[in-house]
Amino acid sequence: MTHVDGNAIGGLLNDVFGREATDASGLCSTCGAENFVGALLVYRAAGVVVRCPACGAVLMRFVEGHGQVWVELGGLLGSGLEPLREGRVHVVDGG
Amino acid sequence: MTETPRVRTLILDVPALVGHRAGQHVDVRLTSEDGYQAERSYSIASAPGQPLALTVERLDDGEVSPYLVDDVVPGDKFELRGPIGGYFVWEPDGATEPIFLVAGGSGIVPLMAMLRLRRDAGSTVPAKLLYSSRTIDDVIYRDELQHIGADVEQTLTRAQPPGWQGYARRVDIQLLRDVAFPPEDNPRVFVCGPTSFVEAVAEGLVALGHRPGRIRTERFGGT
Repeated sequence: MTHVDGNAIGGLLNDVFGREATDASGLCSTCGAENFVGALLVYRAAGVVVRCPACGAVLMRFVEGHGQVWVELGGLLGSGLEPLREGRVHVVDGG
Repeated sequence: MTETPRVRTLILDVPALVGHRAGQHVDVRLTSEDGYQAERSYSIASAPGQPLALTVERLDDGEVSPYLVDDVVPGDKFELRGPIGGYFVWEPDGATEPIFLVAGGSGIVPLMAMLRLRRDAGSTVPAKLLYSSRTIDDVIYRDELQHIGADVEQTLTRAQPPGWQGYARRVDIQLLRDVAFPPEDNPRVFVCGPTSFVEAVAEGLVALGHRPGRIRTERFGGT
């Protein structure tokens, strides 16, 4: 499956984080690589899977449906981003 | 405005849109009568301060682009989200390093917004564009590129017209070595195109000694 990059989900990330997110940096909890969110690898199928460009580990997952977004950020050790916890966004894994 | 047989530029009247930055995109959402929704991202072609222009390439199996290229008429309305993006963005922020832009196919669109901004702002930052298309008929903004005020190098990968002066092959490391600013000039690099194109260019530039942190990429997938 081909991938795009984090730029492509900027609109979704805006919904989840309430701000422009592609220029925030994210730290991979598997290999420690730090990359801009816009440079992460994005795979789309039923949901959106975001992987580390250095090691391929899953950093974030998003599933949209019924007007809501389910968010799992367990692969990120840290980032400048704090997801919204109200409205249509549900954080599954504590973020 | 028709750019090529497969590509059209739409000027949108969006009253509530806040100003955009060069390199950003918008998400276009279409909703059918039965409620089915399709959403795709399209890069903004116009410079900041200009009316919002989207240049869209028709993908024959696409759900949104055939409508935007073939069917939309003045006065139609559809949903937009954006402008979006803060990573793949260039601004004449006082930095003096040159910019090197590499486009594959319709990957030219966000880079054109940067070149138009550079021209409109009177920026003196050196700029080079390397633009890869299949044939001369696939070249978007063909006329405007001749007086965009940047050094433009083109390659046509599939067929070349008689007397073609540009390159005639896929972008490879030797071509990048010929065209790119040397790494010592510390250029900022923006690469946009299909995923395989972007990866080949980015890997080639890194092999030539460009720092990965100076290379920003925007890949687009299929539909």
